[in-house]
Amino acid sequence: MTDPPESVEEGYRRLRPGMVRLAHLLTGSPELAEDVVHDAFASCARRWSTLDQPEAYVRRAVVNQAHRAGRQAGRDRDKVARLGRTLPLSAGEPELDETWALLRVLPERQRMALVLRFYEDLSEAEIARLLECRPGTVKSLIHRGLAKVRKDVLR
Amino acid sequence: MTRTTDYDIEAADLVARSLRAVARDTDVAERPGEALPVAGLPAPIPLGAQRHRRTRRTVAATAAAAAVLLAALVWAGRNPSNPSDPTTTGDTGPADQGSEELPPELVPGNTGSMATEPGAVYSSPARYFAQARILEPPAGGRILTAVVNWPDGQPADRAVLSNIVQTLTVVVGGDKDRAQITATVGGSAGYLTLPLDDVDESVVLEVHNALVSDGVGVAEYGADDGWASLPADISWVPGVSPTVARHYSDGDVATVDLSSVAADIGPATAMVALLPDARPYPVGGGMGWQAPVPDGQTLFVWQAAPGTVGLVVASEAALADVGAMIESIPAPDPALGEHPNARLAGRSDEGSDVLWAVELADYLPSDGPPAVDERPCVSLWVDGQVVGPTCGVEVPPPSAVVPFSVFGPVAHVDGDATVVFGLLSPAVTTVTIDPIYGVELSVDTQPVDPADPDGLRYVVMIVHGGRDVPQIFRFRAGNRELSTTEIDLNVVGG
Repeated sequence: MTDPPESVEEGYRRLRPGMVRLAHLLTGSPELAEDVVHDAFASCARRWSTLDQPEAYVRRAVVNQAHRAGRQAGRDRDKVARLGRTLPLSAGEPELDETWALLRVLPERQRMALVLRFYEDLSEAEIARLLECRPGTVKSLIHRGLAKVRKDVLR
Repeated sequence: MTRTTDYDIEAADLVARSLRAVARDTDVAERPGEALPVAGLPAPIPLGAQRHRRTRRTVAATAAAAAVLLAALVWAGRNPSNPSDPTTTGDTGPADQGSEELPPELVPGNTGSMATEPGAVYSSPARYFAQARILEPPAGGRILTAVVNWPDGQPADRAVLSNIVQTLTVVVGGDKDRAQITATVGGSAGYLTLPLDDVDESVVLEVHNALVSDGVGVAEYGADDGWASLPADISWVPGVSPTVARHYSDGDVATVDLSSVAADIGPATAMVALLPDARPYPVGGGMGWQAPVPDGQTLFVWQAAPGTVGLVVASEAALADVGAMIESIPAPDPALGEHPNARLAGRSDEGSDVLWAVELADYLPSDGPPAVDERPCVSLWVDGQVVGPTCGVEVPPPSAVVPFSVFGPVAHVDGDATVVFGLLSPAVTTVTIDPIYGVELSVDTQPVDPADPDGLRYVVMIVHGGRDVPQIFRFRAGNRELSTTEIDLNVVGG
């Protein structure tokens, strides 16, 4: 007998922690991350029962909502204030704090490309689909982001 | 496991560790009272039906005005080459379908930037002749270059170039703040360079200098250093050709910008070069495209009638509603004997290593007697080049011994791939090539004209390798083999 399909509530409970982490990395803001995940699930909920791969669908919605939230944050000109609330990492490695501080101020698409590549471990082609650009653009974004890390942190 | 390929491994490792540390420290505990964001559960979603209803009203209003805009465009196209012609800014009465008059809300002489206020109208009666090119640096990214010529030797104007750049960034993307524009002093040529992706500013500047220096010769820029160069077509972009446009908003977040442009959309490969994420979106039998554009917006561009392009940029509007609105716009009557009405018959799949598209063009009847050239023409485009325009094709009868009118290699791509193209009898459902290096290739044929599934069919096959010996192609009708032919893949067009 096959298991009954996962309800949207079960999916929400299961996927929410990971998606909040991802949204935090994508937006650079833990507060914004909660809103992003909320809106992402809201956009998926009505068609939940029709989704073959809910996790992939929610991930795409999180990326889209994070992109939208980032634009809105830029418009509201509170980005600087938001970025000011940087919490130190508990890893005890100062270069990790320094790297995260740098990642938060990178251009949005550069940061998103780095997060999707090195946190989500997606291929350039997969990232290109999520960011709606060409794989060559993703490669360029990642190279530029890493070059910035090399220049400003590793020096 | 993180795949590092050719990245800076040390920097990539630092980024990965930093991201994992941040993720680990992220507070993911649910807040008291927080609820699943689903309607019917304790916290209804904020994205409700109200916005959707407003969007529907916006779209309905847009549809009602669309025919007027298209009619206005027919009018604007009457004097397309003279922006100073006083008749193009005249104050006239209301317009209806087929009218020669502008709608009353058109502001005479309003040739500024794209309208941003609800209901505002933008009109630009001028036609500029633009030769555009996409350049791709080996490190990635794309740069759009264009040489823009003013009609009738009129002097180039920086303000017009700036407006074109602004409109380009709306419909194809790019960073207008990093664009370079140059208007020749006393000359009728202008130059614009627009980075469409993240490209170094110094690189953009170098390309622009080459553009100003070499004109269309910029196509060769960086050829020795691995740069790619693709033809592009921006004649359909509002403001490049005669345009009328109107902006609609639901007063909240949904907006729809509808334009009609006196132009023809470019061939498939030129459109894909400009809009790499575009997918075919035919409208009313005319060729069309849908593509994501910056700021989460969606572009629809379609051939509304010969010589008239319809264009919608929609933001936060339900795409199904926008699509229904587009479908509801009546096409203006075409002028006789003017333009081929190109339609997309098929294109390569997403992610394909060889980009191709098949177009079907019907030439409109002219005053003269029917000629072969007025029969339907089928064109194959491979990687931005047309490799097989074929007009006046006779459809082989189902019983024909040779079940094709055209068949064979038409291009070699990237040293390894051979593109084989065929126009086939309606009886042929599959073309198969015997195994090459153990791999058999079988491709289903498609109707050239989707409206005529029992008519002429085509096939495009991408064959890798296999040029060392002649290959056997088998033409099948279902499981039945109709005939075979032996072809040397080395001989393109042979």
